[in-house]
Amino acid sequence: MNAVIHEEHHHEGPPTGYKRWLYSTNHKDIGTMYLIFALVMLFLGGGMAMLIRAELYMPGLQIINPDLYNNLVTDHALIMVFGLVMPAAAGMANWMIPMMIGAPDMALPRMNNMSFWLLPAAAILLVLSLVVQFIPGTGVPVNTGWTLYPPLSVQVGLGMDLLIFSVHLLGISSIMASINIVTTILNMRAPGMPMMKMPLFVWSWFFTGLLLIIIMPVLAGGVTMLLFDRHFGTSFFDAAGGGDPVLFQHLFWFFGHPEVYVLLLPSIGVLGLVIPTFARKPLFGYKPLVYFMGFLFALGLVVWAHHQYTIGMSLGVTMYFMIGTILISIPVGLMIFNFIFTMWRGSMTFETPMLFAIAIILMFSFAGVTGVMLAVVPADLQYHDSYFVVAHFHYALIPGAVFGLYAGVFYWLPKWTGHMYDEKLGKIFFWWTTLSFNLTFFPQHFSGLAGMPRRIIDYNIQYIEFNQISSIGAFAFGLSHLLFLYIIIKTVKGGEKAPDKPWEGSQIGTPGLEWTLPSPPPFHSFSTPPEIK
Amino acid sequence: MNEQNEIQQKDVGKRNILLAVIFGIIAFSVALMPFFYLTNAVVNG
Repeated sequence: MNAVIHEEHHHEGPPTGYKRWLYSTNHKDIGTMYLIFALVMLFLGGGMAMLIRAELYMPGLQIINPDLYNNLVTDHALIMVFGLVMPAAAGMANWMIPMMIGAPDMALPRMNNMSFWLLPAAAILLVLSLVVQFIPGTGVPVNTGWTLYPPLSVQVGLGMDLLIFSVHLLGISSIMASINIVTTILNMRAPGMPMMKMPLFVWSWFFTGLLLIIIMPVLAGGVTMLLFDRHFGTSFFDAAGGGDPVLFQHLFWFFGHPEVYVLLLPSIGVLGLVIPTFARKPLFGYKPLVYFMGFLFALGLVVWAHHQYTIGMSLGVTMYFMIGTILISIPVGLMIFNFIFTMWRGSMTFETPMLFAIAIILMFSFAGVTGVMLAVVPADLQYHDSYFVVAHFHYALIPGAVFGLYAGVFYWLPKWTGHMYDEKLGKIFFWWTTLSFNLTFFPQHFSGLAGMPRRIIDYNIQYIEFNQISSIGAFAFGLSHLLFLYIIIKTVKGGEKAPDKPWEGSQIGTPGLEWTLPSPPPFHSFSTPPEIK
Repeated sequence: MNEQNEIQQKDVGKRNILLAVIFGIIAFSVALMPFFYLTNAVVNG
């Protein structure tokens, strides 16, 4: 896509000092803050995972007590989902969407500022929900897992209230960010850019934003009902008082299952840019890919109860959820084929973003296969709440979401910083993370199939080898992120100067207008709408 | 040209706020969902 830019030179630079960040309404600065926040949360949630794996290195109790262990499991999940993946994807959306569609900024810049600044407050509440257990008299720690199922979540101590308020803030932040992104996409595109010419990353965020607007309020409503049951004498989820604990499961998973697509879709959008760039071929089936994402959006909203096969639904309802879930493999499988066909007979090179893209296709497909296994009711009744499920969703979410973010970071670092990252270190990071990730989670399929239950601190001695391999892999996986941090800091500080189009193939297919801007882009870009030819 | 741009930007501003309000109403309506489950039994135990 070519654009003629009549850039009026605004000499107004960014404000200086803390005001630049605290009061920022600039999409690039807010994007940077989202990305830094996500990086901090990566190490916080990762540190919790290291503690969990250290504890599981041997059977029996080693370092922490069972309640703290379960609290760490709860917070690890919430931090990785709400603190890492969603803010990182939102950071990329903030940075890239206005530049891709030729907008001067996000549609509602002040709301953008508020969306971000609610996050640190939510993170503080989340961390407090963990540490409050060390104060005497605050009750049992939040040992429910991230699903927060009652009746346990009604019985635990003060930590749950802090967690509920944290979820409220996270929900408000996500909804506002989503409204902003969807409005930007609908209203702020440069003249001459119809929706069907938008880069796939923009499309992916369009569907992600819509999903979040629909599902986040359901979670917020659900946890509010929980708060009422805990403190205001209602019995929404108490069978003795006329309520039903299963209602909470339905509310949670109506949010929880589409949330998986919220995490995956932005990464699919990144793949839609990275693969054509490094295969030097236009995206195979751009329009079908958009339709598949729409199909995923719609179907993802109506299959939530496959997380609840064991609660005893009627045969008809169970059949509906099973068939619906298996149907999801059709658009996902077709997307994978589209990406493979894009690479087919392309002039491929294997820079770090492309390596991550290929790894995603291989490992996410593997998660798809175990996903179909879990979708089948009689099989799931055996796998339910075992380590097989833990292995499945880590294969779905680490390659599917986190590796997609890594691909995005390496793809856009030259544009963001104006410097090329160290390709050799990038490749070392890729191989280190990919191998250690597989070492961590592949054995968990076997311990799960052999019957090891999840969310329990102790295990039978027969699972010791699988757990030791997992723990060694996890420590290596955790350590690899220090290299990731080093690469980012090194690139921000200096390095080879990045050209405006750092990748030879970045203009192939349906790219946005981001490559028409210098690297790094000016503080205010597209203050006059570009003309697209 | 600049005047034209300013007018365009103001129009876009109005449309942005309108769309955001519509999405906000949708989200708020969904969040009010707990009230559908408020029955005498649930409230009074």
